[in-house]
Amino acid sequence: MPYQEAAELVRAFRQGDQQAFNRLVSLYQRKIYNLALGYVKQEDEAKDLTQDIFVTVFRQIDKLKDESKFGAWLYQLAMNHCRNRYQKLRRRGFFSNQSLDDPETGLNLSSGATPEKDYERENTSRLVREAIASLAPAEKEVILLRDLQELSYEEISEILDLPMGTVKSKLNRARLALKNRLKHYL
Amino acid sequence: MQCTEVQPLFTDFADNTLSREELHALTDHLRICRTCTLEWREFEQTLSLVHSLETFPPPADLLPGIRAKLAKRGLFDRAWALIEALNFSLSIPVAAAIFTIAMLAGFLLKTSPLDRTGILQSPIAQVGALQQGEMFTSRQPTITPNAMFAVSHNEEPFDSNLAPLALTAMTTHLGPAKCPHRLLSPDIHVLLENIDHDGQIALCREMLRRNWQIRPITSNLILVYLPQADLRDFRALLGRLGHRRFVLMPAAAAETRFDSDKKVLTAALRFQ
Repeated sequence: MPYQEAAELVRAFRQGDQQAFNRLVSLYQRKIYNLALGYVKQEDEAKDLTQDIFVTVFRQIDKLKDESKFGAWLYQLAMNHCRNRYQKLRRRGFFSNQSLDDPETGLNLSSGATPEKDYERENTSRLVREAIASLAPAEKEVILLRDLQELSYEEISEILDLPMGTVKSKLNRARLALKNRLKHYL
Repeated sequence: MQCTEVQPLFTDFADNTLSREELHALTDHLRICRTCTLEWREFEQTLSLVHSLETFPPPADLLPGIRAKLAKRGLFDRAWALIEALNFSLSIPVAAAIFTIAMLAGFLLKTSPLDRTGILQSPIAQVGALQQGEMFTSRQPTITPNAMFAVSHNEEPFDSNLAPLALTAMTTHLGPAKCPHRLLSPDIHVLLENIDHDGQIALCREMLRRNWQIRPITSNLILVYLPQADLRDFRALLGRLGHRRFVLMPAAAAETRFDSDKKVLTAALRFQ
């Protein structure tokens, strides 16, 4: 992630440059959208959640103390939003209606006309995502941040406000739990 | 190295961040333990699968949606910015104290003697207040029969011949009246002279026929509740008494739109 660029954009946005905010959104939207999708598993919900996250960024940018830490701050904010939305949706039974066979799981499954290999790849991808989604929230978070968002241990440590050693041990446990869930497929 | 010590090292092994000693111990163990080797292979495969996951492109309308949400929240933001600009800095105890004071003030205002309406609206309070000699005439509450009168047990009983008519009217129209009431502030005073007992009954019948409520107060005083729209009819009815004389007070009561704020007028009819 081009941190320097992000810091400059934050600075410009704070000085009133609205285009800088648009560029910040462009810079991070893919990662935040996929993070949201990892939580809510449904495209419309993920889009709405991502929009809410950036609305909060817009409104609370003055609370960011160090512009160079924008990435970590954004992820912290995004994680809070994702946790809250996940809890809210779970209470409403949103996830109970979704299964591995549900085409509305946000995995962009193709129709039956897809060639066999593509279908198999999509199916594998869907299984893995489902397995990640079924992890405990704390395990899911570290997997999403490290293995899907490809953040460093330092960044995850900062975002989750945990010592790096704790992050590593949590990640190891989460990966082992994921392996056990995918055992029959491996 | 024991099998139980192997799995906690998998992530560091995958990241290649093990110390030389740990690396040697782990690889030696994996060479001789088929179970742990299988576990490690599955771990590797899992990581490979997870890392092979592709990210999805964000929706094209993400940014316009953000802008739309920001525009929708503009009003709220401005209000919030104003609050923040006022620089409130209340601690929880101070806020709690202010809340308590506000609640106490509300309670005191509600129960204050100045709030005549509050007292008058409670029948129990009406009795208590009247027993203490209070008369509420300065501020009229909304026109309802119970709000206008306080109970008194000191008056003469109502004429037994008029009572059935009055009670019928009360039961039919506005509910029970257990005892005579003392007039506090009727809208219209009517003084009727030279009207005999039969005339009184006839007058009451006419008023009942018009669905006006009659409430006896004393042997020579009754209250009539009538819609303001019937005021003309009320005057006409009094006028039909013929040679019998009546006096209407205030004089403005002679006008059709006597008091536009009230839907129901209270007339006190006193027979002389």
